[in-house]
Amino acid sequence: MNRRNFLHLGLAGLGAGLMLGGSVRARAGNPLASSGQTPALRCVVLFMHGGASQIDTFDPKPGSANGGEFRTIASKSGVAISEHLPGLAQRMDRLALIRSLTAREGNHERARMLMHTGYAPQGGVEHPGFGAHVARMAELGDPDHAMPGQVSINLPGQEPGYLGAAHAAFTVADASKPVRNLAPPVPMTAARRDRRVELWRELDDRFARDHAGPRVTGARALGERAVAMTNATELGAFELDQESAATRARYGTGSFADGCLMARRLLESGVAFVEVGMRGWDTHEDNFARVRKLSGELDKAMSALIDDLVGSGLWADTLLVWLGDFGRSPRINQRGGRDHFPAISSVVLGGGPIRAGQVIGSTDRDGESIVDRPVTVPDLFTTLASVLGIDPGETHVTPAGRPVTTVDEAGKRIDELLA
Amino acid sequence: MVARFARRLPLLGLVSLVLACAGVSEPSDQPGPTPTTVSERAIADAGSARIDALLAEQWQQAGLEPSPTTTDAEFLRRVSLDLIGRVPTRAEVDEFLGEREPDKRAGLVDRLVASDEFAEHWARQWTDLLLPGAAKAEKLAREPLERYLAEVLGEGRPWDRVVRELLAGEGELADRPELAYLAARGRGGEPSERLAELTSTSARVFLGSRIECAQCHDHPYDPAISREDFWATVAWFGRVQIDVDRDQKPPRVTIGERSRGELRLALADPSSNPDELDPRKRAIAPSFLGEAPTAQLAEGTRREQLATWIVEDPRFAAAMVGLTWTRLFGRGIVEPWDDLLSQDPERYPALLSMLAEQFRTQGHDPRVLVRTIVLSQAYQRSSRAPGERDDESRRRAAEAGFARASVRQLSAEQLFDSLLVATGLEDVEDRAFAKAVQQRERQALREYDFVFADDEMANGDAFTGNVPQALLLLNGALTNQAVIARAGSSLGELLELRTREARIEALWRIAYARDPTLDERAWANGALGSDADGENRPAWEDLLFAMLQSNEFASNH
Repeated sequence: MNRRNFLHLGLAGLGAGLMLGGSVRARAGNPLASSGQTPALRCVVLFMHGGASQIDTFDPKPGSANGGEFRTIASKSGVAISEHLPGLAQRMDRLALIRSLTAREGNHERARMLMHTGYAPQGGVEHPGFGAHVARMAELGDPDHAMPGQVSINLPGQEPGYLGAAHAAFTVADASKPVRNLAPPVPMTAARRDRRVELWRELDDRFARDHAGPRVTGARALGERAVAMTNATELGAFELDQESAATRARYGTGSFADGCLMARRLLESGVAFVEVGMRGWDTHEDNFARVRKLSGELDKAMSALIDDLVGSGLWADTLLVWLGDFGRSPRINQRGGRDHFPAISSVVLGGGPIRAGQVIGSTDRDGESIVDRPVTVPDLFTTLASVLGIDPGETHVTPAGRPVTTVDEAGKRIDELLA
Repeated sequence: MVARFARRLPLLGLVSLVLACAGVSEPSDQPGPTPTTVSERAIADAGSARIDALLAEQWQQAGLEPSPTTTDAEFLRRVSLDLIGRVPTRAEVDEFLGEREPDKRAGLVDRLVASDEFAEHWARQWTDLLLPGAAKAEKLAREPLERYLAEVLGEGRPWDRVVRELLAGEGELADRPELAYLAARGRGGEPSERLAELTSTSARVFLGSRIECAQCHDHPYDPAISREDFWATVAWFGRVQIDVDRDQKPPRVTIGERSRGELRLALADPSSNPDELDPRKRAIAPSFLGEAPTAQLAEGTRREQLATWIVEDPRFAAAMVGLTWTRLFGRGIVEPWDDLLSQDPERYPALLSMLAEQFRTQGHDPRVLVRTIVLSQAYQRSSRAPGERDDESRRRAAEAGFARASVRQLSAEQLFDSLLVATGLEDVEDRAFAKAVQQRERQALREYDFVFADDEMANGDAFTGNVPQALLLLNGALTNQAVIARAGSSLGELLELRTREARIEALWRIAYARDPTLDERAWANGALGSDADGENRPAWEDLLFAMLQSNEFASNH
């Protein structure tokens, strides 16, 4: 069985209970149809690992004891943000800001799962990361695409859960280091490589005859993807050396800057979902010096990414999302730090059909509670799915036979973001 | 790392010294149990028979037809991967298939359980569970903890004693490697959060109970664990003192216990973590997941009391059984194994109660538990369907009922070590090459660890894998360089055999630990082409390479 046949068959079988009929029509029902908008085709998520302080970035509280050391600057959309985000201030007219995201998970691991899947972790259901839904949609649209549907940079990303291994993220451990194993380590003719792959396929076909099941099909699908990637013409997307010194300088240095640059190259090459992780935001002590430094790196790289996506025209159908584990406590602790605060965090969105320049929700003068328009995580994920043309209410069947929807049905789309 | 590359350091009898210092009571001066005594065998055999009786009853009720028993070759490969973390060598396959004793499977299990490789493989798995994410790769905690666990598993130290030593120890890490469990929580993030993680991990691994969501909000399921209950359980660790002196090389780590002081927190606002300036903070009195301490527990330090409560809780033995069973079958008796919090101990499945009771009465020896399970007929079921008719729902039902073996992914270490064995890399005679490969292997293991960084105890039916893993096999140095036929390598030795027939047979034993079927012999003959008299090395290399890529090699089935 060759790769093309296998992938077509595999994608149908791999969803572990997923019905093909529902899958191929994944794009047919446009959730944005009522508003007359076109969904975005791809998505880039910038994930602030550890949980960024909302007060010291996008929801400053000048004049409050909780406000901390930073001053604010006015942005192009008129909304005030931290003085250490000058580049983004210049670009806020392209972005929408949510200041009222609220959740309850204050443990890093659980919060990360929530902020990647839209569901709080619970026994029995392995919810896929949002990227797996986007990857699935893209892979169904173009099953012969040699590059992976989703790439996760600097962080492991979220498992594809019940959607199956075919939609797993391709992980890049550190964007500043070369991506390994994209080509054989010893020179080899193409004929010999093909011969090895053919032998491997025949052996796997034999084994699968009396060992069916998701593990066997899953491992086979991943093997086929590896073979396809090895032969892909788009592999140059991983090579940052191809960029000019001037471009690299615009993004800055460090694995987050390199990750944003790689993300741009991957989106250009046809990858549908890219997540770039940025570590270091768990600022229980010495918050201000650390956030100042982190803000500098974030501001430069994110600004450059926006500029390049706008410049290439991809911005019109690319959704950009900035978020993290959770927010941080308004009160400053004895070590000059801020602790976990899931009750309030900020989210930044842009691109595609997002109506830019607006702020959704607000918090009180000390940043301790939400006074207007609380947004839940299911609300956010319903909106993200809609923007990408994914039906949030589609029902999937888990390997254990349980029906679950793409996004928690409690979620309501944030219509202002799209109006 | 593979046993052959990393010999264990001698422990210099530290264990008894450690116990004397800690004042932990020892039952007697008896030396640790020797591997598989006659009485342990009898206990294990009786347990194996009870597993099969209970399952037979369930299969009948559910209308499940069990798969046939594994062949000797299938059993050897499966039990080697599970017990010592690698496939058998060709010599081991030859030897086992050649044995004629009727109880040779029991003999094999006895040998494996008593081996250093068993202790090392299981110590590695335990270390992965016990250390938090960031500390898993950190040498400071990982090396001593793995060393300690290999030692206790090797001597069959009672698991309740091990848990006491992990939780209640005091002293210097350099003298007492078990302190690494606490030392791993010595830095990074908010102190109370580190203790919360330590408590959550202890509850998960020792009691099979996930309580971490109650760190921030009340546990939503039965029995309800409130946020207050969670922090009151953390409070048992409120007096631990973890000092890390980084001026010393290597850093000097000391674990102590203060005689007074309480964990102080502000729990009023459920969305915020403790804040030291917060006037609402108060001392939290310790309790065990909502139960007040009973009088007879009120002895010893806080951590000793906690350890006593844990090892006397009915979930303690059930968690050990559930975890071990999951490792050996790929799914739990209660699925997942760490979901015991919502189960009433009075209503555990009979299989779980029976094995937990046996574990308690046989003296908490993990080796006896492993032996009991792997010598049951259930463990020895084939992963093939029993008849011609089969489909996805039948397969799922049969695997869930343990009437058929699951196909399981190998862990990073299992795959890595198995690749070394199958290619014969460590026996290659070219020393410069071997040295280069050794260095590359270390790099590769780190790589395998990263790209395979998943929860090896994940949900029974989930397949966790990713493309970098597949690329590592397809394009990695290990698979590509190590299949090259060199003097001393497994392919090099194979090509010294005279007939093509014998070579094909040896190749199947190397890669799949079994003999090829007639059909496979014919297929291999065709694949090798006409010019395969031993000179056409690339043809053999390509075939071995393809076999190492294949599902049959990369899974335990």
